Amino acid sequence: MNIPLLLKNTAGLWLLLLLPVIAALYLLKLRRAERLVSSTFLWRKMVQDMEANAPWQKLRRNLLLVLQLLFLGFLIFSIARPAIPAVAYSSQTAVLILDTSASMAATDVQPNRLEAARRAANQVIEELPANARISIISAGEKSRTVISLSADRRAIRQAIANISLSGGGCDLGVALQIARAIAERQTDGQTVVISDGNVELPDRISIPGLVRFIPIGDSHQNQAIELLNLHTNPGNHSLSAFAQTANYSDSIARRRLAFYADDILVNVYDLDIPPNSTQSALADGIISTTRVVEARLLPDGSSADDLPLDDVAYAISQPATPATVTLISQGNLFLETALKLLPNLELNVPAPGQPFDPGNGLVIYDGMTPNAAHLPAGNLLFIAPPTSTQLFTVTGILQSPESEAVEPLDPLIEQVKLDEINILDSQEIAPPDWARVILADANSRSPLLLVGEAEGRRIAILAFDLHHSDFPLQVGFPVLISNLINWLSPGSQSPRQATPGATIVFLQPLTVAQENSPLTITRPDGKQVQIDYQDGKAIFSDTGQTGIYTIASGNGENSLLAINLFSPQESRIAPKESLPLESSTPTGENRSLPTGEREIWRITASLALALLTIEWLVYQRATLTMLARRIKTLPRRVRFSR
Amino acid sequence: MPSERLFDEAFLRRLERLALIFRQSANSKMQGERRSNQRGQSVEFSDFRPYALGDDFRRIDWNAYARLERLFIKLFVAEEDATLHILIDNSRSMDWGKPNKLSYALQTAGALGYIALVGLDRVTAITGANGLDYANSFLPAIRGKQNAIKLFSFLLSITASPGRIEPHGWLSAYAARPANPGVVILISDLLSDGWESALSLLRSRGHDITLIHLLSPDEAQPDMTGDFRLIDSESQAEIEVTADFETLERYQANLHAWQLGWRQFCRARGMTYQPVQTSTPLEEMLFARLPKQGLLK
Repeated sequence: MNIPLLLKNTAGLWLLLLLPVIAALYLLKLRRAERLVSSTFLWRKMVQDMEANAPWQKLRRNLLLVLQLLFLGFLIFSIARPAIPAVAYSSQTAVLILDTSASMAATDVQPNRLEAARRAANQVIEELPANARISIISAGEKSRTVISLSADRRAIRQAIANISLSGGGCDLGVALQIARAIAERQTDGQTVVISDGNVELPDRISIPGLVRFIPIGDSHQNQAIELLNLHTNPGNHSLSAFAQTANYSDSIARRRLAFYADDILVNVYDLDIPPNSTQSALADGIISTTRVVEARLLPDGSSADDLPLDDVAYAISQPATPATVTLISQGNLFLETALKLLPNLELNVPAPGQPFDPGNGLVIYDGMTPNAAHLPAGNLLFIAPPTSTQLFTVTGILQSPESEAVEPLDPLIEQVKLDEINILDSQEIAPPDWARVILADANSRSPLLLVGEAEGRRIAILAFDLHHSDFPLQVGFPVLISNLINWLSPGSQSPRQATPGATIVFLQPLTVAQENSPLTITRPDGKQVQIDYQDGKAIFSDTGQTGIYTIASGNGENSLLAINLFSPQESRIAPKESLPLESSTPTGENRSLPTGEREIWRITASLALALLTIEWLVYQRATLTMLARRIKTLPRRVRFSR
Repeated sequence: MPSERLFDEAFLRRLERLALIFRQSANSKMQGERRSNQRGQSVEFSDFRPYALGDDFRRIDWNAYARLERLFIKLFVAEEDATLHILIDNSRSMDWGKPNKLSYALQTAGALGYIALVGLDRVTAITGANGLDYANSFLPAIRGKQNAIKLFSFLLSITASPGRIEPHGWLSAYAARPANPGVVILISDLLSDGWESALSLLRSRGHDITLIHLLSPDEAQPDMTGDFRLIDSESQAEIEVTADFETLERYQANLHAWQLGWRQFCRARGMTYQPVQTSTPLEEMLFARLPKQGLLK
């Protein structure tokens, strides 16, 4: 094997002239000191002995000289900056993208893929020049720049060590865009993607400079729970749990699926899941008071499973508290029918003129306007308000408006066909500044449907009387009402299941006293997070862990949230050999691996240091041996002195 | 050189409690106080033996003849005097070390000589002067405690020999002197060749020889590291030595082998070998080591 060695600082070799100087000094030193002794009789005898093995003796006598020369040689060699040519990724800047998605928790590479990715990243950094500036991006459900254009190796290593699993999927697009933004500012940069390849890739993204993909992982042995649903059986008030398992390996997998209701085992199935296919199981008769149903794939014999993260799933049964809706109307059959169709809704229709107590629930004023003094505490839906209130002003009547969606993508009017509505007349309302206009008259821009939040509540205004249009006869009507009620009466709508990395929005429950106590969220690992409401919402995004999150609101109500992986992309852990990554730099000289070198002076300098230590030990060995002997004889002396 | 007085009074009184042991007959003509293992004329009965032709009639035990009708000769313990020969090597190498080997040798000689004088034995001493100055290098036999002052002044006059001492020549000359076999104590550092043959010669004269082998601490454990040119204090011969750890280890091993060789040499010839470092207190040597060797009691 012939490793070509480069010296980057050949001028340093002039220092080799010091070697003869040392040798000369050694010879000079050998002019011995004269010493008078009583007799050389004993020494003579010894020297005669020694001359019997003279060559070795001579060498041993010069051991110090040899060591000193070697030490100096290595030192000078280090000064000359030796380097060996490496498959050189010797860019001055580098962006490392580390996949932190759930599949990186697979244990096919010891101890897991993330650790292997960390090692690969450290190796890449090792190959870079010492002054290269490095950015690290952790790419999970959300991508994050961990360290940006830093040359501080210790900080970089620390940053790499601090990267943890994000738990969810991996959207490489954002990470690549960040990388591109960095790479575009640099002339000599490279981008390294360290991943198992189970990522969402943007259609086309090209990055300037060199782009490399370092694949991690070597197994595809995995089974997963892909789905876990709970159904309330209407008749006997029990629950059914439906689980779907999937096998991503190439051989049939025999696994045991266990259902637990509040940690009590209720059902077990032995499943033979065909390769690359799914198998379902249903657990019936779970008592209805159960809050958490857990499905767990237990290992059964020989089936290998390298990703334990997706072998467990949780489902939460939370009996929905019905939303209270109070309808104040002279009688509106369309509206009442549409409302009665909605699930989990308690509808009060007080007789006109009767006092009512809506509590915190939604109040619908159909063709009426309340006294300003008596505005209820909860959310409000006005339909064709005849007069102004403190919230809005009715300016007149609009004849035959043509409805047009101002915000056609608004979720409130999703699936609602609006262009075929015929309206006889509508109240003309000046849009208040708290409101968003969803529907408006195509000509006068006068709003037909307004939504918004004011005085800490949600308010929607439908400007036209339902009886003065054909809208109630259309398919879109119940859909719109359902959307509106869902938006206006969100109490029972907080999410119960999400995927890792998802952002969860908790709506502030409407209370008369509007106290602003924060949410306390307990993560599966027991860590507690407190979140304050802002503008009626609390946003929680620290959902990287799978498992059950407990959300305690200020008024003592506890709700649960299950985070499950449920991601075939992540469960399919078979690593990809390559990623379709494109470099925008034209193919040619830059695409071929640039030759560079890797300096090895640290190694030679360490060797020099080791030689120096050995030299010192050899020089001091008489003293050291004496010390050792003293220590050995010490206890005996102590014993004698007693 | 040693101080004007070798010992103080208290030490001398302690020495008087010691006595020399003679392991063989002195064959002395003079009757002394030393109990001989030979039969002789004294008052102390030792044994009977049958009469043989030519025995002295006066020693026949007539009482035994009356009882047994056989003639027996009564034997008595002979009491004799013995001679202690103290041989002091005063070559240049002996005038060395801390404590000084020569002064240590003189103190040892003085102590042993005094013990012998107290025991009414004859003491003679010789040192290896050039041979030219014979009178000053030899103490003729003296006897009796009152002559101790002669011994001490002789010892105090001894200095290191200016020239070389050839052990063989010196000892063979001494062996050739007409003298009764006695106890010979040789105090030397043995740091030259030729001692073996000289001692063998001396032994052949029938002496009971004790060899006190002196070494100074710096000879036993040389305290030097580095490259040296060692110069012999006697011969001015030079030798180059790199005193590193291995060398010193080897020196030690060599020294032990040398001393072991001497011990075996002495045992083979019925001599007593006592190696002593001059760092050993004189008391320890006189009151512990030499009694253990059977020289003193």
